[in-house]
Amino acid sequence: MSDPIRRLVQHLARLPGVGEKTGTRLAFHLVRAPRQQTRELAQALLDLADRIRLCSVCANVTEDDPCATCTDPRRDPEVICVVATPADVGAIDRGGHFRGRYHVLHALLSPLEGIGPDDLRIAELMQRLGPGDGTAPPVREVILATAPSVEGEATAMYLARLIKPLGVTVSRIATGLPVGGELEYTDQATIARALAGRATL
Amino acid sequence: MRILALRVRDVRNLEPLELEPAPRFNVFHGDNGQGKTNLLETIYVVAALRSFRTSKLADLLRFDTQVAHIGARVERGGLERVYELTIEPRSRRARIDGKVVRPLARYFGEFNVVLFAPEDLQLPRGAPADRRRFLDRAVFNRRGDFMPLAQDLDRVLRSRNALLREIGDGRKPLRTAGTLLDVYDEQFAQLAATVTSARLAYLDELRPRFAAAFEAIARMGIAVDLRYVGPDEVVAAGPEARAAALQARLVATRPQDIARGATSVGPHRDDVVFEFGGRDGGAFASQGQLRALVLAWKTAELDLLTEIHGEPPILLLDDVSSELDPQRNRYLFDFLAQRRSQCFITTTHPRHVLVADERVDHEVREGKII
Repeated sequence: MSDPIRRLVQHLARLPGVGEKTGTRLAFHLVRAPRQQTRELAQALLDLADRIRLCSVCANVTEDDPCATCTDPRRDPEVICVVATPADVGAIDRGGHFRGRYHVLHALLSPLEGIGPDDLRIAELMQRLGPGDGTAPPVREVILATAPSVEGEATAMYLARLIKPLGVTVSRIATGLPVGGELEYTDQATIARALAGRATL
Repeated sequence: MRILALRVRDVRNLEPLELEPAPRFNVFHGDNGQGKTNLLETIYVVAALRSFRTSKLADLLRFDTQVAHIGARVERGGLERVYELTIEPRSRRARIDGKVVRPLARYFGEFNVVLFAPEDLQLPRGAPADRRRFLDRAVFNRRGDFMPLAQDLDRVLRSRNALLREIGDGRKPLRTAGTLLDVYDEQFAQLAATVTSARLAYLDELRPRFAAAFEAIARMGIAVDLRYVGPDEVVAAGPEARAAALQARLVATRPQDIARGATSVGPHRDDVVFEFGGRDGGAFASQGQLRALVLAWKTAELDLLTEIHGEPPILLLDDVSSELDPQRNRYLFDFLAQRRSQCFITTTHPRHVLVADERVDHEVREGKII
C-alpha cells in the first residue's frame, strides 16, 4: 500500500465505528472517486477544523459565536434544556416542540472513566443561571435531558443539586414507553419506569 | 416449558451437536472431563446469557475458534421460540426467532433454567459471595427485570468506589467532591434498596415452601428458616423507606468508606443464612443436614417458579447424586418424578439417576454425545 493511502487508512480507522477493514475499503473507494468529490470532502474536513467551534454561551457547535439558537429572539431565553452532546440538540430540536435554549455538557459524569464535573461544561451553565449583568432575563426553568442511563441519571442528580439552591425550577424529562410502541414487546425495566412515572388523568 | 432442539457449535470441548432432547429425563453419563458439564453450561448460557462457571463468555469459545453458537428451540405454553446466542472473543449477540434482541433485558423472562450443582451443597457453610450469587440467580429467574437492575447497581457501586478512591488519595478534595459523592450515595441507595427489596420479597415467597420441603426430606421436626442479613434498619424498613435508611447508613460510614476506598454497606455485603433450629446451619448442621437444606431450597425454587410462571422451568442437575446419600437421592428423584420439569442430568454412573420412566440415556465421550 502506498504511503498516502496508508496514512488515510490510519486516520479513518481512528473514527468511531470504523476499523482497519472499513478504513481500507473507504480509502480505496476514495481513490476511485472523481477527483472533485475527494477535494470537496477534504475541503469539508478543513472547514470543520477551521470554522466550527463551540458557542461561548451554550457550548453547542457553531460557526458564529454566539450561535444562532442563542441569539434567536423567538426562542424563550428563560428555559434551558441541558443535553449531553450536540447530536442530542439536533434530536430534540427536530421535533420543534421545544422553543427554549440549550446547553451542551459534552460528556456525562463517570468516575469509572475518570470523567468528573470539571470535564463537563457546568461552569458555563452556572454562569448562565447567575445574576448576570441585568440585560438578559433570568432563567426560570432548567430541563435536564440526559439519557436515563446510570451516567445520565447521576449527571442529572448532580446538576439538580447545584441548580436548585439558586431558586431555579429543575425538571427531568420523562422516561417510559415510546409513543406508538407496543406494551407487549417492552422490556420489564422500561415498564417499571413507566409505571413509577404514571400520570393521573 | 421444554427444549425441543438444541444446537451447539464450537463451545469448549463439545463436538458440533444437534440434539432433540426427550420431554422429561435426559441423562448424560461419562467419565470426568468428557464434557458433561459443558453441555449443561450451553443450556444455561443460552437461557441466562451468562455462565455459572466464568464471568467471561469468551471462555466458552472452543480452542482456536473465533465464533461459538448455541441455539435452542423452546416450547412454552404451546408456543415455540428459537433462542440463539453467538459468542465472539469480545462480543455476544442474542436473538429470538432470528431477530437481534435489543436491549438485552428483553431476552429474559420466558426461558427459565434452574441449575443445581454439587458445589451448591456446601453453600450454607461457604463464602457469603457464593450465597449472594445463588440467591441472585434465583431472584433473576423469578423476575426478568432483576439482571439489568443488578448490573446498574454494580456500575453505580464501581463509580462510587472510584470516586471514594479519588477523594481518599487526595486527587479530589472532599470539599468540592462532597456534592458528587452525595449524588452517588443517593443513586446507590435507590438501586440498592430496589435490589434488597427484590431479594427480601423472593425469600418471603420461598420461605414457607423451603420449610415444608425440608421437613419432607429430613422428617426431623426441626424448624428451618432463611434469614436475610444486612444492616438491621435497612432490612427492617419497608420498601418505601429502604432507600432512605440505606442513604443514612452511607452518610454514617462515609469516613470509613473514604479511608478504605470501598462501599461498606449494600447488597454486595449482605448475606443469607440457612437457619437450622434457630441457629446458623452453616456452623451447626451436619454434612447431611447441610445438603438437605440446599436440596430443600432447590426443590422449593422449582415449585415456586412453576407456580409463578404457570410452566415448570428446565432443570439442570450437574452430578448432584454422587454427593447425596441414598435416601436424599431417592427424595430428589421422587420429587422430580412427581413434577413436570424437563431435566438434564449429568452423572458418572447412570444408576445414580433413580428414574425409570420417560428417560433417555446418552454417553458423553471426548466432547461427543453418543
